Amino acid sequence: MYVAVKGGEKAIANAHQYLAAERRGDTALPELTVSQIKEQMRLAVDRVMTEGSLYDPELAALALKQARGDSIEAIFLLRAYRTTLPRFYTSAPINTSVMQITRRISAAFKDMPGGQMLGPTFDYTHRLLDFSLADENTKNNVTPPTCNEDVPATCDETPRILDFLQNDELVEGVGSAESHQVGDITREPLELPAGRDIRLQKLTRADEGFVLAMGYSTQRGFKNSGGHPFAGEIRTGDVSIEVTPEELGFPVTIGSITVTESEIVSIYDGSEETPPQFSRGYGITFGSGERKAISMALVDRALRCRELQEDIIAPAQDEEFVLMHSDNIEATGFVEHLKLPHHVDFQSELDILRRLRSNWAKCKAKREEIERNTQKEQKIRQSGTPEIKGAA
Amino acid sequence: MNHTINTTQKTANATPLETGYNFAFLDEQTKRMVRRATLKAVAIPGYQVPFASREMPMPYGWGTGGIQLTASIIGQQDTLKVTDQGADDTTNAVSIRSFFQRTTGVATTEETNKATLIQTRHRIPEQPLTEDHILVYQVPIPEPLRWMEPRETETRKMHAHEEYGVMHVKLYEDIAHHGHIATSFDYPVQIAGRYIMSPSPIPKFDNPKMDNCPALQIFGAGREQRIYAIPPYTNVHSLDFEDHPFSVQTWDEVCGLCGAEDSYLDEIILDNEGNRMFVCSDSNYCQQRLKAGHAGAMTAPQGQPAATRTESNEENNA
Amino acid sequence: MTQQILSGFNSPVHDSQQWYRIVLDAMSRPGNVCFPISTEAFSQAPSPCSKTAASIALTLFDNDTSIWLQTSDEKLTHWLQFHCGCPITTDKNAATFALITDGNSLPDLTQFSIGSSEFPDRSTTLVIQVESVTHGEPVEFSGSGIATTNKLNISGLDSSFWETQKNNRSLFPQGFDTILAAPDGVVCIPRTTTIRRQTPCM
Repeated sequence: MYVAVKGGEKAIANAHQYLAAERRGDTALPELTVSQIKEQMRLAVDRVMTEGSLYDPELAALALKQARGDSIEAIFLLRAYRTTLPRFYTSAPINTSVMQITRRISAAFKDMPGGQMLGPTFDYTHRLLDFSLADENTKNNVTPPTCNEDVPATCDETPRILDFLQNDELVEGVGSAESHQVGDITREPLELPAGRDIRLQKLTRADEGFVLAMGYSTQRGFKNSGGHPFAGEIRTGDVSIEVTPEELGFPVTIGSITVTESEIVSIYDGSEETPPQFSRGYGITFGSGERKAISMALVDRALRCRELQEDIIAPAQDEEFVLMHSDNIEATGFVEHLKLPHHVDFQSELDILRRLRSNWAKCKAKREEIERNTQKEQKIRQSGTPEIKGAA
Repeated sequence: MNHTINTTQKTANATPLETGYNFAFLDEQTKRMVRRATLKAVAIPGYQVPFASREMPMPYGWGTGGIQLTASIIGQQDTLKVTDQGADDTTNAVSIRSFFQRTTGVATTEETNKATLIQTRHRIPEQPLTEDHILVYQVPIPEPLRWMEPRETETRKMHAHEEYGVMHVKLYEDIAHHGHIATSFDYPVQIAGRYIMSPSPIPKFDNPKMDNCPALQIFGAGREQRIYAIPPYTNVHSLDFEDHPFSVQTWDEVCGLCGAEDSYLDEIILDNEGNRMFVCSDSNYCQQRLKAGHAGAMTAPQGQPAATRTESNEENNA
Repeated sequence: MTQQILSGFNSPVHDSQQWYRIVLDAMSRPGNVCFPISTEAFSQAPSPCSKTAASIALTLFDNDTSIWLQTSDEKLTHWLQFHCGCPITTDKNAATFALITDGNSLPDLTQFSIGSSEFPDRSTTLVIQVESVTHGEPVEFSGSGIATTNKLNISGLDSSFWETQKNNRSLFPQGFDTILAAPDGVVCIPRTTTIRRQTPCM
């Protein structure tokens, strides 16, 4: 006798228990703490915050721990938590000109006012496994270097290198904070074509791998125009967040966040109204997401093709393609939903397939019969009398 | 038997409520946004209303659209049924039901006639729906024209101007190639003579149930940010041609458990020899029939060996 | 605050859910008179709103919806701004909702938004206060949501509405949608509804 499978509930409970045990791993080893992740896996935390659209290193570290180190799972946890948070205020736009800089470089100029500052970068490290890190008895108490040179006073405005070129109109303006109300992708459904505000928001929370690949494709020629891209300026540091509560009527600082900002320029041939100049691409992330910020700037520039009247010929210029497929939470959900039972649809497809095959077999049999008949006729003709052949 | 009866009875919720979250998880502002979109969806039958879908604690593609709709509709007086592929005990149905138990504390049921709110994936219950039901569908791809035109900007224009030529061409090409329309699920429908709509991936067997249905039917696509609806008593026409009228799947077999001749059947492989049997896809319908004393070939202790499959027929739907 | 603002729902989460279901049911079944089992959602309605219209406002209005108000009553405006946080607009075409507190003197309804052909959902929803949806002029509804026809009686609605709705119906899929709010119930008239006036037999 057949009994339909039951017990989904129990299976789920068991799977959760198994998962919890696997997350913990060998209990002979000490449990990883959230603060350890926050301090020592900071770049993973930064990515989770950026793509999770929530600046909270503690929660991002917790999400990473719970997700067993899987970035996308951790981003998902943070996004789902974020949904439930009430919105009290909208902050004033952050001012990245006034930044407590920890890193600042420009590839366009050898030196610049304010100076180049490498900061804590992997650049120029030799990628050799450091076996001393494997020895947990070694004390790795390294302190950050101190700088003897004149460092500009940190709270002052650090000029942007592109502003110097903008004064000569060699670089296009950054645009004004028009009367245009800034959109919000977390509160409004995406509508296409999208404004640059919406595109930039989508790109900041987009999957790093996706944005990297899209940016890379523009460098390999999958774009319409714009010359070689130059990293006009990349800066990382802390900026303060200001809100203006209704009851106070003046702005107050509620804290600061670390961001990485990247501005890319490339030559734009100009149009009838615009002279040739450098055009800009912009990228920004929470924390030290430099790879993402640069890639984002490249993609932002490529997506400005409509505005700059360039032909759309490459994937990175295709707004709908980029924006609709860049979110890893949307993507992972839909790709992985293939794991869900689909037996009803599968049954329907089986039914169709069986009928298609039966039709195919019938057609084949018919074809073969016609072929056989033709061959027979040919044989008859070949062996037949010349009169009949001639008549045919 | 007793066991079956117990599991299908309306059970008062014994699951502890999740603390720290609003009733039905969503905050009130999100609920209002979903509610307003739903009202517009009802007012414009078959039209896909864009809405600012939120991240839910379940993945996109796993029913987030349906979950947001249910969360915006559900109240303490409701009795909720969650079904997936016709079964209430499949893992994702269990997971979604438990989510609402934990965030609302409402009563749940597996019985269609006891539910006031039914969230479903890929099936419409066999038991006819009434005015007391609201049916919420989970939708993966809401755009019926998507396979012909991948661009939203284009399909939106096509809907606006009622330019549905591509759909008819596609169906006609099917007929030219295969002799019939080779779409077996997510079969496109036209609502009240205007919008062409995706019924979600239900088998076309279920399409006739949507037509002139006494219940309100609402569709939610979370990832694609769309809500649409079929108001009660609204004409739902499955697209077809005069010389190729719409028809639904039929089986030579009956349900191996309850003997039902009128339900959608799942094929089950029984052993390594590949023997099969057919059972109702709607598990509650099957159980109700068993309770009422119906029996199929496989319910008898020394029943016939598993029914083997024969060609399934295609007949015009009466 | 110099003046006291009347309270809103007693239980905001559950009361608004109840009222949403009333409106959803009414919108799904045009002509059905829908009403909650309990009207004790709050103690006093802000004049000139009835409890019905006030409940609908609390259920659907918030800072994402701009509201056009027929009355310039300050108390009501404050009440709406305090409880719903909704921006008030004088531009009919920009209004998500119009709160028309006197159904006997309608503004020009054709000035409200009917949405666009690509986004017909971006149209105004009219909330019109009427005296009754159970007594008055007999009318007959038909269209989506109605099995055959739905007969009902309405009073306190200017007769120009019927002609406007006839025209509105012809714009489908564009058009505005209407919620009639009366002390004895809610009746919805979505853009799909065709209305036939019946000559009263008395």
